Amino acid sequence: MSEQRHIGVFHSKGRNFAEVLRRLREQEPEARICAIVPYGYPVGREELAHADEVVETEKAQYSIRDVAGLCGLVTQLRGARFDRFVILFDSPRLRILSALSRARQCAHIALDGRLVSIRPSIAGTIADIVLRHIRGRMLYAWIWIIVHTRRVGRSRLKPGP
Amino acid sequence: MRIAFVDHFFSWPPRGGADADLYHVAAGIQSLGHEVHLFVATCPQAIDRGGVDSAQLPFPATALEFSRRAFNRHALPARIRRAVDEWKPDIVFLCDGFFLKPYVSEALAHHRVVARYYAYEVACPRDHRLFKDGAPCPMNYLRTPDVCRPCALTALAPALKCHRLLSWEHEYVAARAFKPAYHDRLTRALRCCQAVIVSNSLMKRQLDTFHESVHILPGGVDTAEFTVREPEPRDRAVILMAGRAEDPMKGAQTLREAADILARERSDFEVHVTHPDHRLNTEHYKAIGWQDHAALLKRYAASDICVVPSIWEEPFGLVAVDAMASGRPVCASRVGGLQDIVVDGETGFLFERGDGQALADRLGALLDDPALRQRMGEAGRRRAETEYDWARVMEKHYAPLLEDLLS
Repeated sequence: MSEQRHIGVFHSKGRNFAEVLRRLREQEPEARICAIVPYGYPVGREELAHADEVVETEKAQYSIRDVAGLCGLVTQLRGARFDRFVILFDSPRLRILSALSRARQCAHIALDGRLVSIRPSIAGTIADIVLRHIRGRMLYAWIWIIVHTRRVGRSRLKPGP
Repeated sequence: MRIAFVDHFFSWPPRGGADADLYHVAAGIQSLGHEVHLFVATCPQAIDRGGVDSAQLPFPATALEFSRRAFNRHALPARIRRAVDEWKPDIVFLCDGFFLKPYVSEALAHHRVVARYYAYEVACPRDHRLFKDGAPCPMNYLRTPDVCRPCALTALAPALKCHRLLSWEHEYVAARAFKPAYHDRLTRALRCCQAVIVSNSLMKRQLDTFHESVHILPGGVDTAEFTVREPEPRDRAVILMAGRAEDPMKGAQTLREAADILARERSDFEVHVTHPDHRLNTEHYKAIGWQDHAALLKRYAASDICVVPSIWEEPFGLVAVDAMASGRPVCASRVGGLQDIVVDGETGFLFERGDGQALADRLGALLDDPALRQRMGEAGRRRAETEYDWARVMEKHYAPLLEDLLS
């Protein structure tokens, strides 16, 4: 008999978490789904009904500068030994977290709700972040020049309503 | 008559008030005997909305799918124009959309276009909220573009610098909304519409100079969904705040302040707030987390008083109408659409935004007098039925507007 798959779903704001869990349950009816929610999250809520277990992180929020906190989070995720680690957004930070989770498979939820497998690599993600920052700063500089050098010229009108 | 609806973000099942509004208006217009078709621009790569389950809609819908690259000021208007032209509508309702909406409006200018604005997207390129540093912003992009453009850029800088372009930022860049010419395009697009629909008088005042036919049309509710139940007798009256309470603009802090003031004098109440953080809980203040629509209906029925303490210029204030339809008195701040919905002293009380003491006084008066609560609740229900039931909204506002447009 095959072993039950252990799937960790990492909560992020801005997504319908209940819907994600429900879809995942439909796709993986036999799996043991673990909802990883921030500290202070109302654990008894109906929206977690499709999760078999709910794990609270040690902190409600993590900052990139909080190295000790992040190490604690990574240790907590590794300790859970997930077969699959699911993140709600394909952001560079969540990709790195997926890579550090040591799950056998990683996936993210695409904007259209599909579960997309990813192969997070720390080096690749860092390169991606650097490129995005270069591209983003060039875009910002271009916009800044336009906004600060070319005026619409109607600001003489009084503000409001 | 053939009426087309065009929307950049529509999702069904709904993901926001604008989706629900479009759904009810389109279904209502169809029930008035007109032919309705919805055109939705979807961009699954860039926008976390736009999924349409046509089987769940009572009217036909066409989803126009765009890649992230094609969701721009050239391809989007052109494709929408082709699709709409093929259907040959008499009137086009241009609904939710951000910075690309003026381009679509111009592309459809050979039709009778009605532009619908749900928030302050015309007035605030920063985030369509017209709310800055914890207070409503007195500026308005239409009148003070050279003040608003740098402000918007400052707010969008973090996302732009790391090239994390979600729907608002993506449209900002794709529409070249930072360029001076965009202001002309926006005002021109407004003028080429046959009519503009907004939700409150502030929005109307912002647009009045740029369009002569700006209509304030309310949203609505299906009053049959709400059951009016006598509040159960209990030791502690329940004061409910529904909505995105974690958003500072919604004013949960004001309610918290009022609850603390009341708690110094009495213990016959409990505040329930749809806030996700249960660490805020005290003896008289409970964070009950996000509630879906069905759960909220039960919460309204189980409450005694509802509070809407928003500190921004709430465009409409559907939560207040929901509470009134449930037969509950409403204490709301004197902002935006809320002051049109709540009749002060009749269906509830209005108080100045952010004034915790004033809210505590109003809540105290209602807690002291169950008969007043009941009277105001009944008046609120009557007002919801006569002014905000979708059937009434259609008959009273949309039917005359359509006649007007055709004449």
